[in-house]
Amino acid sequence: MASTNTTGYRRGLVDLGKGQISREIFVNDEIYQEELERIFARAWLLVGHESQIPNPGDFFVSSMGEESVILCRDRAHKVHVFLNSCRHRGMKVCRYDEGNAAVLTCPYHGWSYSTDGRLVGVPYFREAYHGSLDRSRWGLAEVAQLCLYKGTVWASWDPAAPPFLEYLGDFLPYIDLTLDAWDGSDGGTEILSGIQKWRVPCNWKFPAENFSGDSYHNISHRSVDLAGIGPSGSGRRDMPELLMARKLHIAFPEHGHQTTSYLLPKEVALPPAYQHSSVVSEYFRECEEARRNKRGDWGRMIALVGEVFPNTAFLARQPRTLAAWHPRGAHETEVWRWFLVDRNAPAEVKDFLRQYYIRYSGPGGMTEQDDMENWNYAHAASRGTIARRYPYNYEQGTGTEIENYEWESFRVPGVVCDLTRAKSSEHNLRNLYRRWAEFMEADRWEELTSGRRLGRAEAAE
Amino acid sequence: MATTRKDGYRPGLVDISAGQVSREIFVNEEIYREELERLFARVWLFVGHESQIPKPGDYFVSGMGEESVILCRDRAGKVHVFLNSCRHRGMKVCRYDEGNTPVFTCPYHGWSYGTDGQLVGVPYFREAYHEKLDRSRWGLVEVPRTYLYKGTVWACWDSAAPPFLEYLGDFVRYLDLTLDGWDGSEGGTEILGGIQKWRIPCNWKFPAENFCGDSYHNISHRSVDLVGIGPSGTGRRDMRERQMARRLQVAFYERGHQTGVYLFPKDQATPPSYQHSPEVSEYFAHCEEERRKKRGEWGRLIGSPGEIFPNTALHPRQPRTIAVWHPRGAHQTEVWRWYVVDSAAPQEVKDFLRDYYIRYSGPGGMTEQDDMENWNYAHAASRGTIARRYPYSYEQGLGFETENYEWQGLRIPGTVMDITDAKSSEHNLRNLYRRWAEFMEAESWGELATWRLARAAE
Repeated sequence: MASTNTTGYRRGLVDLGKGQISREIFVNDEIYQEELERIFARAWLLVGHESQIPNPGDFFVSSMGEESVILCRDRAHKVHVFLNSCRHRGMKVCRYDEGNAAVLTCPYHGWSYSTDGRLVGVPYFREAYHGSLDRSRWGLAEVAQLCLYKGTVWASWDPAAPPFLEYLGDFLPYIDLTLDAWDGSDGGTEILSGIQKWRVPCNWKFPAENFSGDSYHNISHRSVDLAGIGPSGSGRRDMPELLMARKLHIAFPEHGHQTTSYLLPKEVALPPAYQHSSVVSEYFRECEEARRNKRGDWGRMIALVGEVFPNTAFLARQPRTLAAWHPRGAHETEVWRWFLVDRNAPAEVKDFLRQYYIRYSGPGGMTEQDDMENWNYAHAASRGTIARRYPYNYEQGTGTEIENYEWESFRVPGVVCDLTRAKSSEHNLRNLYRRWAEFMEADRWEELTSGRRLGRAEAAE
Repeated sequence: MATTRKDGYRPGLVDISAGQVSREIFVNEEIYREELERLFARVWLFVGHESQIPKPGDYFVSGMGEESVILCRDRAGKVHVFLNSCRHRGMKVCRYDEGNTPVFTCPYHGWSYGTDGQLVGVPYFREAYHEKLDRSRWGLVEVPRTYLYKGTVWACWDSAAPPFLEYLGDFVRYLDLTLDGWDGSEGGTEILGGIQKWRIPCNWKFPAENFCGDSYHNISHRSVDLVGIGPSGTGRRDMRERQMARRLQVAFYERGHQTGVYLFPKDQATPPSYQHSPEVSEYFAHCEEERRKKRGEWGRLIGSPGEIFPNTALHPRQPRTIAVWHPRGAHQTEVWRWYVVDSAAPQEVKDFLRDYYIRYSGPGGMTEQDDMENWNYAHAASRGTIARRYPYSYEQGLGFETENYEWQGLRIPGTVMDITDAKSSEHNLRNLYRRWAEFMEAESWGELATWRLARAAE
């Protein structure tokens, strides 16, 4: 199986010029092992939310790539992310999902670490180590970089990676649409308690590309649309913007992030939503008004799904959620899903939303189950000896991309594909895999931040 | 990933002088495959016990490394160890755990072998083979070396390996602590029926190092100590020797074997044990007295966990057991555990011991489960891309080793670490990995049997 350094990934396995991607990248175990090194050990990954660790000593065990990590807050209120593995003999230092502790004590031989990662307790340090163990060198392994952004906690193992905000670049406003309060005030969101965690028998890139902007698979969700699980009873969500907005695919080729968003016309208010509850409906109507006032033209942008490269998905609107697609081998993904609400929303609104969210998303959610059915069999088919010889088709909408997209005097950052009439494109998916291939080929971060324009890049391919 | 011949294992992956071992050796599949060739194909491995195959035709299917082998006794009473694989097309010749048979018949095409390994039956030998097949060349593959020692059966695939007793060297006296009658009579032990077999999702070296003498992990067993599953009700075993003996870790650098021991002061009797049963308690008290008489100063030694390189674990006392850590890929171990009792012990003693043994050890044993929890997650953590960049720490007690250790008139063979005051050390674990690295680098037994070179020089 071709590895990065012999033939590279582009033109071969990932041919964006033709819009074809080999099934190998989803099922090949060698490629998967390289992903662990070249992607998950170097990118920025979502670890959790500050609201999960409000007090000193609070911890939440999370995941980065395949590895277990501890997100915690030390006595000085500083947030840390540590590898959940004792430096002595590797045992999981923390075997619980979350909690509060003054020290983390490994159950194997009793080495103890404070919440700032220092090795503070070594049984028989005087007697058995004769005082000679240099404890300062054996603290918990800590991530190289950490960033707290509007409550979310991100981490990277690679000190050479650009700082998080630079990593996001101009994609930042789209993240804000997920993390800001609906009325447009900065931050102002919190996690609804309870993180859903479940496994899907497919490669992590199936869900990742789906949430990057697969606008084509509506047919999968036809049943929940007909059943009307949405908060106003028709469709699976309130989508009146479909009828009046520009539907856009927005990608950032230099970063690998992308989103599907709706741009409303000037001077048109969003139609009412959440019709099943007058309290909730009124709450969101007021928020919409306030947001237009605060944000001006940005108040016209309604983000839907999106992906921060490589494996953090967001859904800014209905339901409002963040997900991490944790790799568990080439053939399995462990999904962790967080749900978001405005911190200042009334309790009735939060309750209503929680019910809607779990009706829609997660392992018991009716919409998410449709997706998993697809990914399950798509992956299984990709493993077949014959099947894997046939590339997947990603050519939808090739050549229709627009830089400097502007509509009704709003200039949209990113490279845009306007789907209002086209209905769908695979622009965002191509963006994900372009960046994926770059990461798989680059030996150093310098190669990844060299900055290229779309035109030149396409010509090179 | 560095392989043996390029950089070697020392001082990179296995840096004994710094007391650091890379996590790679536990999870790297290339290294694992080399272990199968350089380690398991060349060392002496524990196969079973004679008491499992007392009569001609008896057989017990065992394992050597990853491979299935048949331990059996032929019609002349001789013990053999064969590869459990038909010479014709490889099918398992014997698909049962144990039994008695005059011939082993392969279910695939019917080739049959005597219990001495000879190919005695070939269907259609005249018609299909035209009598041309030279049957004398197609018998079952037999280990070139076997050795019977006080009931135990050992085997080695490498004819260049030293004989078993030389392989053990002075460690043989510590093996005796497991195999001799508790009253000090030579041999005199038997296997309690039923071999426990189960799999753990960890590399075989995690349990191997644990039983070498991990004296540090008592905290893992705190719950069973508090619950008092031991045969006197306090703690998980009778351990009063801790309070009066020197606690020692004994390693044999050139051989790779090691064990823990408790050394009693002169004229100090072993405290009473097995208090839950007066009969058992009396039995062992009597044995202790006899042993002191028979063995003199050596009777002052009580063994604790030890390991014969590379993967045979011994526990001479409570519970008395021999285990083999069979490799099943880099990420899994199949444990086979035998339990040992005095042949001459009364039935009540054997019954009592059986209950205690399975309460303590094995997949249902409460103490062993603590260990498996640790090995499970330690291994999983070692596989992580980031985690595997961080070496494990093995520096505990580095530099405090003693040669020619002697206490109150008894000289202890081996290199000793006295942990009576130190409480713990990783001396024995370092010994295991030192020897492991030597095997992974050595091209032949000539380089490994270093004691012969010393002798030749004298």
